Amino acid sequence: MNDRPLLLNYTKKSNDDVGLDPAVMESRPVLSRTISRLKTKPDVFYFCKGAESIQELLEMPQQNLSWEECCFQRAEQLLRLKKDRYYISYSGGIDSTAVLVAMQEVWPKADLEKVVVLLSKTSIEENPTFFNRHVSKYPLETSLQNASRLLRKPNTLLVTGEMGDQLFGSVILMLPCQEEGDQILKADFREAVPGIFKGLQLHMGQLSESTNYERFYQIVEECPFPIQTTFDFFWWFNFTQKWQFVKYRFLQSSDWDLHLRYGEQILHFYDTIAFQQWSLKNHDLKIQDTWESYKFTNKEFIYKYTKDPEQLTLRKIQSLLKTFTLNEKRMAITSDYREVNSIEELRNYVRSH
Amino acid sequence: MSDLIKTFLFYDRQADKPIFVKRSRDIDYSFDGPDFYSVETAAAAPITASENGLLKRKVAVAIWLRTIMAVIDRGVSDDFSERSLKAIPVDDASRSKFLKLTAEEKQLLKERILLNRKRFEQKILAAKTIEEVESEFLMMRNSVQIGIYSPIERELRKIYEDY
Amino acid sequence: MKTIDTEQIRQYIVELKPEVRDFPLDATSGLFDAGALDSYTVIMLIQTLEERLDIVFDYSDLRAFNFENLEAILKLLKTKYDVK
Repeated sequence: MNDRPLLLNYTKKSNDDVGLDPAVMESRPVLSRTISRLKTKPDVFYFCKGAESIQELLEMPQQNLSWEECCFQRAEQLLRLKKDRYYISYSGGIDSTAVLVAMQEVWPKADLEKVVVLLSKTSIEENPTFFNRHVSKYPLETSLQNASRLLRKPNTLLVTGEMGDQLFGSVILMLPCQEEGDQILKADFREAVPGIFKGLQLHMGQLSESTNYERFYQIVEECPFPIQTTFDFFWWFNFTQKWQFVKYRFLQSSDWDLHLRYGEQILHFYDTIAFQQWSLKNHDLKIQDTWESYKFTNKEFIYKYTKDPEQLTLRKIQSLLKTFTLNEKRMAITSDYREVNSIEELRNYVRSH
Repeated sequence: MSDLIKTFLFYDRQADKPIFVKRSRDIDYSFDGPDFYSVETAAAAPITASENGLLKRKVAVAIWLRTIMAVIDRGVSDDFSERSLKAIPVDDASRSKFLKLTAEEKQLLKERILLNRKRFEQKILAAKTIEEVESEFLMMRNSVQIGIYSPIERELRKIYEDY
Repeated sequence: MKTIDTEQIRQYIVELKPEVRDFPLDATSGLFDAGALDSYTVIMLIQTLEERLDIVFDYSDLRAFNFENLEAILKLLKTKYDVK
């Protein structure tokens, strides 16, 4: 097993038997796409280490930057890469809006001319004011095209707003808040989380008796502060179990050129040590008492530099998923960037528990 | 509503008898497979009870696929109609860029819908067992990237598949 | 002219998705909210209704509000498809 290249990411919702135990089979796909950064590994497959572990983040020197400082630090890092062209993936949501705000504050005007914004109609619908005042002045390209083709030109970089959710919390809570009220955010996680997981499975057409909570509850023991509420739990779950999955999600699309590597032709704005350490240290800055206040810190950052009060009320409305691509997804990708094409091969990666 | 109803008969190639019928006002169900062919006709014909469960299932699933892709295609047309685009509050200064962008996006989506339909159809029609057909059918239904663009809003719930 | 009621429509959905039998649905319960309908089952339901009622849907009627609940489906059938 140790000689075999491991999986980097798994995506396909195969219904074939890949040799998983029955309880796990029933809970797919929720379970199969978590890649733990903790010592506790509820992972279904053997995954390679594609991101910092939580322990590493806690043990390395702490940068203790504010949210704004993290944003500006990252914008400066991107500038120092001295690319000829920067494609900024803009969904219209809070996180990708903040990316552009940070760059506009920090970059000289001449360097902003290297920016091309990749977006869709939905991006504009999400935030028309920001589009009119800021985005429309850049060259625009449709985000539905195969971005790989754009990145084959030398010295180009794609920057995305991915991983903002993993820093701030989890979109899993949006529906429970709508259905049961905002008080669910502060409910005791031991009472509320099993039901939320079960609801999730039901929405996804799975009627398993077992819940994902049984598989994941142990992760709370490794949090540097006590997990008490539903919000605490789902942030920790997203931050520790989904980070690598989201980081390498761009590889899922069957038209992505697997020669293009993370760190070389593509970077996620929020994937820095500083941001991750901020997330671990600033739990009170992610949400207040209502779902509306989710990511308030990032909204306030945007407002501070745009002076547009509409930015304070930007809602998290499935912005990621509205980027329709209608592209088939790959089953899984190995640590040496090879596509896994068969169930038989995938079985080799199943982790025994 | 169009009064013209088209009838598509699906014939078992070997038995040369119609085993499936589909009527439609809007959607073109003309397609053939290695073991069947379709005929568009004005008149209905008596359907032969067929022992060939595989053939019937292939045709049924392929019909479902054509239907859902037609619905998605229409959804794209609606979403990118002049009326829909006018409703988005884009400044006059930005409008020509916006219209160029949305025209490209619409074309890309339509091309992909057609490509996806062909790709899935090929897999269904090439299936050699009912299990293969059902497996492909399940894969199609789990293809969130297709289902999510349906005009049925609740598909957006499948956000959780990619949370 | 064929006849139908909300209970019959519910039965058709149960045929397609047996677990719906246990869902507490009345005539105005949201079918998508409850998970009784999705893009798969709604197409299959349409095909079932076409076969059983001998009608042909206009696919421009495939809008969420027409299938929101059993009552809405029944209304569509009665007003546009000449079903009693």
